Amino acid sequence: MQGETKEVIEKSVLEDINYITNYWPSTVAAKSAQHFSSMTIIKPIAVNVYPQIYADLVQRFEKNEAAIRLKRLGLRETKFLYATLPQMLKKPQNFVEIFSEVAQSHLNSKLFFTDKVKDDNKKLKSCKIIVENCFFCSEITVFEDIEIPYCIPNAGVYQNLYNIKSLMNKNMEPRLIRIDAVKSAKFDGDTCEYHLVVLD
Amino acid sequence: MGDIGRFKKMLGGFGKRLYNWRETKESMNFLSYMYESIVEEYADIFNGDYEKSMDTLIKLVRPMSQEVVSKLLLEVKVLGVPFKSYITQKVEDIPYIMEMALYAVYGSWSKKIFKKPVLLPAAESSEGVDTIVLEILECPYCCNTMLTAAQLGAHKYGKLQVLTIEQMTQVMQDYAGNDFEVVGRETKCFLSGDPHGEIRLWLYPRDKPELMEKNEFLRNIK
Repeated sequence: MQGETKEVIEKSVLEDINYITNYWPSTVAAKSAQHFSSMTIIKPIAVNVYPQIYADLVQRFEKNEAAIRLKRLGLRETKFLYATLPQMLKKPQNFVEIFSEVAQSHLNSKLFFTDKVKDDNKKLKSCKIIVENCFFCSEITVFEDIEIPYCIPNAGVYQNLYNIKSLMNKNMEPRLIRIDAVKSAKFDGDTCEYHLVVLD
Repeated sequence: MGDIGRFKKMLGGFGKRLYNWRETKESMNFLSYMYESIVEEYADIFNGDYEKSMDTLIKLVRPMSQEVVSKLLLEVKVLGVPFKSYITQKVEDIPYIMEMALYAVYGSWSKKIFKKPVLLPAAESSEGVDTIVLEILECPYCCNTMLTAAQLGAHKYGKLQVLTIEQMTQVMQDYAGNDFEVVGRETKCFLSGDPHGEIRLWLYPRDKPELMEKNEFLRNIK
């Protein structure tokens, strides 16, 4: 995505870490995210907010700006997730687990990492993430992409899942990644596709 | 006295569980994160004005919410029994149907989140119309936010939930052929420092819109 350079991503992740470290809920009496961690809601109600938001942002802004704002919805979701469930940040996980645990337990999706490209030292440079049962796309009325993949917020969710954890722990390799949404599922049983690039 | 018999209620109790069990479900926490992300994004668009952000969000979400809730209430069948067969013209039945619908949406969590809905007949309601009061014991929306009640202006944070429940009641009344306009507000909220949350739904006869002007809650809460 145009404008999403390593420096821009790093600055945004550091701001999110600042939010997480200073997080204090305004309503202590309302219980915590931990308390609600096993609570679920049926999918048709859970996803009924997003289609209008997608259509509105795409209409309001030019393509690149709309894509940035839609992806930012996902970046923020991860910020809230780590702020309210901080134990997830401390949990030691391997590269794939960081993404797949949240995909499975929170988004009811399955991820497959394919087409891995590695450098001479066998370090990951890029890969494809195939998403089965996407939170936004599966089992709902198909929403035609208006040039921007419909489930682009998820690219933000997964990108920040890694980057916040990485900059918070300071010893992870690779240090920063970027994930771009390539395509969203178009029919029942279809998959979504994201592209992961290592930035350094 | 309502129109739904004991046997039908027993069947409904089984049906709501079966429906919730077989439906795909998502994490409630993630929904609340998505909701807050959207509120933040629109506040960003409107230079930090959270009240305007909520105004826009509600305007965008309302038609979709109505469509989804209509499908849920009017098209769903469990074991061949349509949900709509529970909808009656009697306002006394609304609390029971609402409780059943909330269970269908949230599963057993609905009992932790909401107290049983209560009908205040027009004669007992300070607003002079039939009123449904739904007390909220725990709030999965505002528990996570760092936003304050003051930032939201005349809005309450759980508006999304109010909208769903308001639309549910409206769809039921339209289907039953009752000429009511259902208006809902979150009258108590943890974020405002209340010890519990509360949603009130007023059933305004469509030929008496002037009654709404006397409703203090509607003047103060969006």
